[in-house]
Amino acid sequence: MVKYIIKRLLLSVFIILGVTMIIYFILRMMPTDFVEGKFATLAGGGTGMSEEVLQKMKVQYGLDDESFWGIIKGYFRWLGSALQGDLGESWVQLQPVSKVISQYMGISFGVAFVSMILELLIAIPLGVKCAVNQYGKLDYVATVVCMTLMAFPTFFLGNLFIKWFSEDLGWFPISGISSNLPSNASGFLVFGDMMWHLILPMIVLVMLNVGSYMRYQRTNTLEVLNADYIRTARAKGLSENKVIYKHVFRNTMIPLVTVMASTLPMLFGGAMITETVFGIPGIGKITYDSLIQGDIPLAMGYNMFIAILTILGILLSDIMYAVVDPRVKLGK
Amino acid sequence: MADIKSQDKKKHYISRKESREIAKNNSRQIRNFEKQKKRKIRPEEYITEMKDERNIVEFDDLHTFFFSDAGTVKAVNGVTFSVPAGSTVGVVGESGCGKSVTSLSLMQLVQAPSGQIVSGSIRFRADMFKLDSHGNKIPVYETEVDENGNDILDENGNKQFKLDSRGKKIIKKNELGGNMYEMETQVVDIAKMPTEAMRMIRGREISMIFQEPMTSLNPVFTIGNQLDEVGRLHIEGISKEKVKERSIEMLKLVGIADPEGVYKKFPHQLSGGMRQRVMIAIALLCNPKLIVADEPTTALDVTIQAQILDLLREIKGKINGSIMLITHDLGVVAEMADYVVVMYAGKVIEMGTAEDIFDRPLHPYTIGLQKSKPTVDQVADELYCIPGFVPNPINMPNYCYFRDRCEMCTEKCAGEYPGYVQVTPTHKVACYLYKEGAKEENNG
Repeated sequence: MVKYIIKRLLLSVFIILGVTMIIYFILRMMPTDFVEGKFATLAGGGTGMSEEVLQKMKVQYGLDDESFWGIIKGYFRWLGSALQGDLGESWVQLQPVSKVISQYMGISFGVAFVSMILELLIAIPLGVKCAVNQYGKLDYVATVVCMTLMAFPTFFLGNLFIKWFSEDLGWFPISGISSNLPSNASGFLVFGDMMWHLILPMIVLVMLNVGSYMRYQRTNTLEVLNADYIRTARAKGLSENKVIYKHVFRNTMIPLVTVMASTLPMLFGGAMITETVFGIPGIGKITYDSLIQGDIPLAMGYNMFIAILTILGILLSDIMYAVVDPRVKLGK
Repeated sequence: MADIKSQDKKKHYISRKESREIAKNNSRQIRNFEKQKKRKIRPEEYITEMKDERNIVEFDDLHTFFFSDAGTVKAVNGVTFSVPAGSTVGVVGESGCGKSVTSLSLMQLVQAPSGQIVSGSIRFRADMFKLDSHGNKIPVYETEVDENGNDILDENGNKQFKLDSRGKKIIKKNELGGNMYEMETQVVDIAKMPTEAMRMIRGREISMIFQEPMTSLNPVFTIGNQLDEVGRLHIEGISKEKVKERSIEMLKLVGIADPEGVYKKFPHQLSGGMRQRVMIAIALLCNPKLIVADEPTTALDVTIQAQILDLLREIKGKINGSIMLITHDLGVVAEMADYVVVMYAGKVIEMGTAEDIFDRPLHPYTIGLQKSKPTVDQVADELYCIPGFVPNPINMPNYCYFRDRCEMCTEKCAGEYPGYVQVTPTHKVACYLYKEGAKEENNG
């Protein structure tokens, strides 16, 4: 087991190298870059920025050499400092990249974690119920509702909710995560205020994602319900509840747990669109803001972070597979 | 010509309209049956009397249908036979003739909602718990006994109960190590019984061994867990250690060499034969009165088959129960069964004692089955096979279902489905060939 994990982690070093290389090349090959974007707007304002200064700035940011070898050099420069533990400083946030990620990750994780728990709490029992009463009223209603919600784009549902509940009804704040509280407000009050801001985004996230989990669990349950060993369990005289919540449920856990483990990057990576719509300063929104301005160090740092989480998520899901299914043994 | 063509077309295709009609009819029927199941059924509705007191199970005109998208499949279409107590009854027939569905009906395990027991009854003599006026079981308490085992009575003629340290009466233990309750023998109609009550019979009174040992055990639980489950469920008041003891004892009984080791293993770590033994151990755990073995050896290789059959025979003697053995292997039936029921296309076409069926088969189908069995002492270039196929169970004709494949067909066979002919007191057959001379029984 330990050997297996070490082997997998060693292998993933190569994956991360590949990922960073591809992302760096894509970022450098974009038709515009950070310096142009930033100073073109200044120049448009009438300050007058000469070609010379622009070129100087590019050299300073390491964006001057657009040739293939120039990009490769740039990549190894980034890689060299990254290997020394220095991910560079974000050009937009003007802070070290590692600090940006660690600072804004918390709120994203909080939102994503709470909504995932809610999603699972709703989706799993609902999926099992729907499968048990297949083609029943509940099944049809739940399927239609979940499919409809899944079909909405995030920004549409988010803005719709802001319009209804924040602007028209005024129940929730429009955006951000805190209101103007007195500086001596207690921690409890600050937390409550934050929750009040985060309710809408969480609801939106839950509504968007609950459908896929529900359908997944329903399909799984249906498949297991038709298995021979379920007939055996019934032939033993077990009650229907025991059959479903012991024999069926334990078997549906096998695919479910692996799917859950692979959502790890989503958990820490932030919900980019939702955070942007609701103005939550989470890692998703911060990265989005920086990305559109061509902030290479942050983009590299963030994407590497996501890549590592993805690899860990897949590894975790493989390990979980062996945990929930006794037939699976992890190889050497 | 055109007429024939259109008829042909009708046979193979279902038009949109027909398919809609079928779906509509199916959902109506299924809704009715499911509603029937959900309503509260009083015990008086399903408690009946046996026709013959020597029987343990009586199937009486059982109809089990599947409401499929292609039409109603009459998988079991008026089956009547009985299992005498302490005997082995073999049910034989080709694949798809309703053997398995008959046995699943007996366990109320027909795949709902599409599969439903439509009519008929399955009478079973069950040992049920006696209930007091509140619907609770009545425990039997330990009493003071003298050296002869008789109860010591006090001056009022009442039994004296043994008391534990807290002054409570001690519930007597039965032979399985569980609490003893007052029991009564009731004849129940399984076809009408609510599932809730049926659960007391499944696994305790009737247990079933399935065809596929490879998939019949839950892959995520240990063998021990799956065995203990039955004990904990049906033997009330049994301790954890006692359940484990009982499970291991059962594993030993079915001939597993290392019962403690197997107890801790998962199903995938065992071979097919071992898994079938485990299934048999599960079936035997509560000393059932009837074991339904649905092709228990089909998925196993021949040497293991023989071992499993020996085991079943041996065990039947030990638990003093009955076996309903479903198989398409005539050799197995000849070896095991006291009585044989031959089924074809959802109906019983011939039944009798094993000697009747093997020495004096009457129905052309039974004769065909016998002929198609490979024998060691005869040299044959080619094995005999009955021509044709089992008819499509949707829209069955109203004449003998075997007519189109029968080699002994007469003009009479054009008439409606033949009734049973009692050839000897033990031997019945549904065929026009034997109408003369024998007294016809009322069509069942």
